[in-house]
Amino acid sequence: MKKIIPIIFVAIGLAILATTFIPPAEPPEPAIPEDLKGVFIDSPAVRLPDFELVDHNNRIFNNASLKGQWSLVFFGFTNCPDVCPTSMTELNKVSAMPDTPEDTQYVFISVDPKRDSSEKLKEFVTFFNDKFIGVSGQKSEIDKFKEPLGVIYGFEGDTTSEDYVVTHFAAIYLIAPDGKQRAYALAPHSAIQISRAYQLVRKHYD
Amino acid sequence: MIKVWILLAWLGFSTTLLAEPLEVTNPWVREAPPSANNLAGYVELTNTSDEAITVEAVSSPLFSSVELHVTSFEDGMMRMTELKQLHLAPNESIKFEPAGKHFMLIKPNRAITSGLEIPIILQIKNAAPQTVHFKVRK
Ligand SMILES: [Cu+2]
Repeated sequence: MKKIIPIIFVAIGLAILATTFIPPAEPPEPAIPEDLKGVFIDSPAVRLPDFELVDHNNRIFNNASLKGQWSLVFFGFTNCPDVCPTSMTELNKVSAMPDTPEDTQYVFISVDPKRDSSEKLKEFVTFFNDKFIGVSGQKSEIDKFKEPLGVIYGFEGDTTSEDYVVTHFAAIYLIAPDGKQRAYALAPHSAIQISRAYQLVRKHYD
Repeated sequence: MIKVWILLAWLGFSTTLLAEPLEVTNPWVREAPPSANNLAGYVELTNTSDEAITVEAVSSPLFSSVELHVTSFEDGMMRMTELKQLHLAPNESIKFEPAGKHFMLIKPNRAITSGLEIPIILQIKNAAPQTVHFKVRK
C-alpha cells in the first residue's frame, strides 16, 4: 500500500503534465465523398511562411491578412482568357450561394506581376465581384507563398514582350482562420464543387 | 402565278447555295474587363454534310488575331495549346466550352462590350469561308 500511493501521485502528475504540455492531436481529417472530384485535404495542414505582398488598393497583404476568417485563394494571371475567368466566375457564384458563410475572403493572386499592375488587378477582380481581393508583389514574395502550397507556374514565349503565356497550377486553396491551408480543389472548377468542399472542410475544422 | 413559282424556285436554289457547311449552336464570347488583351469564344460546331470539313484558319475584323486553343490539365497544371486545324468528320460535333477548347481572341481593336456580336470568319478547306457571330455575354 505504501508503494502504491507514490505511484498514484506520479501518475496524476504525469497526466497533468501531459494535458498541459502535449498539444492536442490534430482532429481526424474529413472524408471526401466519392462524387466530389478534384478536392484534396492537406494532412497535416500546410503552414505558410512569412510573406509580404500588395493588394489591388496598394495595401500590404501578408500572413495577418489571412487570419481570422476563411479564405478561398486562387493563383492565376489577368491575361488568362479561359480558365482564370471561368474559375473567378464560379467563385462569384459560390459567394452568392445562400449557404456560403458571409465571413469568407476571396483572393486572386497573380503570378504575373510584370503585367499585372495593381490597377490591372483591381479591374480584373472587381469585374467579377467588388469584394474580391487581387494580390501580387515581388516574384520572390509570391514564390515564398506559393512554395508550400505546391503551386507551379512558368512562362512560355518571349517574356520581354507583352505576348507571353503563363502556364500555372490552377487550384483554389482553402485557408483556415489560423492561416494554415487545409484543402484545395483542382481546376476545372465548378461552383458546386467549391461550395461542397468549403462547407465540408469548414464544418469539420470550425 | 408563274412569278411566284419562279420566286419560290429561286429561294430554294439560293438557300441550297448559301447553306453553310457547319451548323453553329450557341456562339458566345465571355465578357471580360475593359482592358483585357485576350478573350475566349465558345460554340458547338456540327458537320451536317456528307463530307469531312477542315477549318484551316480563323480571323475576326475586331481582333488582331484569332487562334483555336485547347486548355489541358496535367496534374492540375493548366496549359493552352494551339490547334492548327480542326477536322470534323460527317455528322461530327465539336464543342468549344470553358476550360476546354476555345477561340482565343487576341488584342481587340475596339471596346468589346456586353451584347456586341463579334464576327469570326472560319476558313474552310476547299469551300467558301463561313462567318459566325459570337455574342458577348457574362
Ligand atoms: Cu487560349
